[in-house]
Amino acid sequence: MRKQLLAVLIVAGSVLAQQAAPPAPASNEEFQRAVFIARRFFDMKDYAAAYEQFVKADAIHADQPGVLYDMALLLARAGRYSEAQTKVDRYNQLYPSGAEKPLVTKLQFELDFQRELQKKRQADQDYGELFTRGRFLYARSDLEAALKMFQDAEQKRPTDSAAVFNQGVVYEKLGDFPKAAQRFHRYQELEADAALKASVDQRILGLESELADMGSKIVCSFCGLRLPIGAAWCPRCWHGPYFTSSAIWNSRPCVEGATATRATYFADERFAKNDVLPCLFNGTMLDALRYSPAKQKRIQDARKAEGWSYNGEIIQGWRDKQGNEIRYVQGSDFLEKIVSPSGGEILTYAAHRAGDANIWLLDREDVLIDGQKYTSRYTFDVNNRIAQQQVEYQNAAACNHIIEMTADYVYQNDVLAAVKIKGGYDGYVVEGSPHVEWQAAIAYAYDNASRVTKEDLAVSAFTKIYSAKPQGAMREEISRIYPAMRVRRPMENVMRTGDLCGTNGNLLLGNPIDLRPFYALSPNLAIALGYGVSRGSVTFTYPDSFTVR
Amino acid sequence: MRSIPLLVLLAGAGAAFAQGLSCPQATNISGRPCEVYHFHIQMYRPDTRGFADLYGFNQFASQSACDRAREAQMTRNLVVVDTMKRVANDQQYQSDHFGACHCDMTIEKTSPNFLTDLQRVAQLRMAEEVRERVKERLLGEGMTTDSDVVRGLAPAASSNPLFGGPRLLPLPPPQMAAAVANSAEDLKSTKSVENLSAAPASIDLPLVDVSSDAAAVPAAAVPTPAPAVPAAPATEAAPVATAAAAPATTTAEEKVEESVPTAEESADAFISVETQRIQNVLKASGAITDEAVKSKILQSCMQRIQLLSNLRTLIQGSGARSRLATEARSAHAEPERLALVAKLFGSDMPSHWAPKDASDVILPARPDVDGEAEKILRDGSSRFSDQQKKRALYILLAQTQPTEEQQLWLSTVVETFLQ
Repeated sequence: MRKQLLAVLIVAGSVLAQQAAPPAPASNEEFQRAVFIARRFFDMKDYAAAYEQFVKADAIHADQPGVLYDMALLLARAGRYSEAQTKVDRYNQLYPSGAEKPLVTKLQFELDFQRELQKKRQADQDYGELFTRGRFLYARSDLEAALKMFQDAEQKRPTDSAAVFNQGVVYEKLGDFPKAAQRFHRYQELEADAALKASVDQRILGLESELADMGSKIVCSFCGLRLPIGAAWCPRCWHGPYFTSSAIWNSRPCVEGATATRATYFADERFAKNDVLPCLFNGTMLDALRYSPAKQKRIQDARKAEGWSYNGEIIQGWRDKQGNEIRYVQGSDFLEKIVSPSGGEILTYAAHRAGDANIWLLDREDVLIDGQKYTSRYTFDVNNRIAQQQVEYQNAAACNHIIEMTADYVYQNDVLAAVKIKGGYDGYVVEGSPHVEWQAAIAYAYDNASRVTKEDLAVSAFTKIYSAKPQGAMREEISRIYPAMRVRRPMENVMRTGDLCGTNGNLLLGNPIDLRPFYALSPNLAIALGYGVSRGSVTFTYPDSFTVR
Repeated sequence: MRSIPLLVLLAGAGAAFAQGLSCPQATNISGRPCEVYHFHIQMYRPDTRGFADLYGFNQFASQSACDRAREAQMTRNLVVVDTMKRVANDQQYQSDHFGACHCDMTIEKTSPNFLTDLQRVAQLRMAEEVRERVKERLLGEGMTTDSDVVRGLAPAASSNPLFGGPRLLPLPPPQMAAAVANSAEDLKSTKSVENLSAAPASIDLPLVDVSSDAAAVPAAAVPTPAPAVPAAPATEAAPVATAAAAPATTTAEEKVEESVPTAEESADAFISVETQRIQNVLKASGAITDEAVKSKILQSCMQRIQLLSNLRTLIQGSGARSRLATEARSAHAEPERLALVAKLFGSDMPSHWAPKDASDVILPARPDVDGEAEKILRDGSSRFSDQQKKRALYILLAQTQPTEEQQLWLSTVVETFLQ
């Protein structure tokens, strides 16, 4: 009501003003001149100049309907839509039924259209901005934020295939392959172009293959090679073992409430020491090692940063700037040798395929632990579990005795129940031909959830007998370490003193029970027992929620 | 003082016995390059004053590593010999005999020098037995167990820590790979906005003639009711007819030609209705919720507006008596209009031209034509069908603003289509 009144007042004011100053003939001529010139400029498509002339005409005779319309049209053509709208509004206000009305109505439509177009352009600009920001964030590896941009874009325009495609790419980068595959499938639904649609086929195929691998494979923690779940070792670097379903290899999870403590005792039951064993894997071994492309890349990148090189997925060797080199001699199926051309060392491997699966079991391997080389030979049972491991090494850290050890594995109800280990050697003639034998056993206890609760090691026998007197100056050397030595009689308290064999100045040399090469047996007791240590016990705790399988 | 005789001995020992201390076949018998090298030794036994032949106790991955180890062992042995001669005054004490480094045949099963695991262990034991004898002699001469000469009896073990290492490694932390930058080229750009921003805005309306003879009086100031809005369809002449409140005069020229419609009038007769049609489509598209479809409709409408503008120019340029102007003028009813559209732009065009549904205005892509419309239109051979050429005309008029020269040519093309 008030608005209408105001409009009437404005119009009345305008009319009164016109009535107060009626147009003079000279003004009319000026007016006509301006209109004529405007028209000519318009024909020349010089809309700005045409508009200027109409402004002049309007100044002479204000609010003429034709001038109002023409000005509105020119302003619209110049893209000055809001000003054009003002002129149209003015026209409609003054001449609601004017002769130009049909054209004004059309112009109004045009202006409406331009307004819609403007809105649309703004919306498009906002939408395009989501893509620009998404691409920027993606390039900066801020993947979560980039994903959010493309999700927002999809919300705005659910049928725009590009937003969906980009989500797929980001999910792929994030390693979320199920979602990536789903997004690419959706892209195919939305994309009308057959060629573009087909272009993601390979990608989806790759993702689905990766998904299948993620469900059935693990990665080697050293070289990153994809291994079938159940593989004991990585056949391209022989790291492992990857007994993912073994309770023993899942006995040290990095989870709240899980602990592993190893206590060792001397032969006289005196406590030797406690070792709190660090956790090994986040969650179960399977969870930690389960294949994902990102995990594989992480491992490979870490190795490459150390100087290792690859041929595809297969590790080839290492080299530094000083020319030191380690070369992996890869056979057709597995790593056959590791050689160091610079240092001269050679580690040799032999293996066989386990059944139909692409699982390789070591028959023979050389292991280097703290500079000491061990040669192991494995035999396996029908279930491809280690049945026996024989180890041979020359103890270069002491008296170069050639020591042999054998571990026999005993399984019950599908789990390792016990391991019996024996070892010993025959010494050299000059030192009195000592003969050493020892025996040890490891027993495992499991709880109702099939988790290892205890791993007990006990050395049950340790004998050393000199079959002859040491010769020459060696007699003094031996008497320094065993003052009470009697030929052909078992040494007393060898279990307590340990197997000593000589000196290096004031340092006593000997052959401790070295279980380190039995690394595949357990991560908890693959240690060299100190002199006199005859018992070890590892106790484990787990949170209730932790299960191996 | 001691180094000179030592070097002489070293050189002599190496040269004198290198020839006889080698595997029967110096090169690898299978023709492969040698992978394992070793050297033979005849170790001097102080207890028997004889030599023990040993050739299965060392292996090296390269000739150079083998040579280095051999030289180091020779040096250590000569220190022992020097010590025995000097300290124990045992002038008969002899140095070990070292063969040259060569390909290890002890691992070749066909070689007479092949060694089984047991035989190899026996060789190791033998070497160690001899070393123990030497050690005993050195200790007997007052050397201590930690003296260099005693400790040097056996080579010191040293290897690259990466050579062995733990068999189970912790996984590298995730952040190691996180810093890798991605290429934005992996991503797609949206198609729903790419053409819109470039689309021209076209307002295809004429100016009106303005007369100053009688200044217009605003309707609001006149108590009599405003005249009815002319209900004349847009096919009528441009709205320059006088109105009761604001009588606008037509020009003299226009008055003369009133009976014979001008080319401009012919154009306006057709174009204004079609402009209205496309605006109606735009209006109707407002009800569509799918932004992508809406965007495509908008794009199609803008192309149509461009086409209508070009068509107007063509009609005007062709002259009032041209086929195009005549048909445009006489196409009053909807079927006549659509027939003209079909003649100009192909028989499949009417359904898009006058869409039942706003989305029908969208032309399905025709990659065979859309990419090279002008080329197809200009093609003189019969490679392209009429339908393809008519489609090309639509595309050309909808997507470009023809130059004057092109307009001339297009007038001819259109005339041909209308024949």
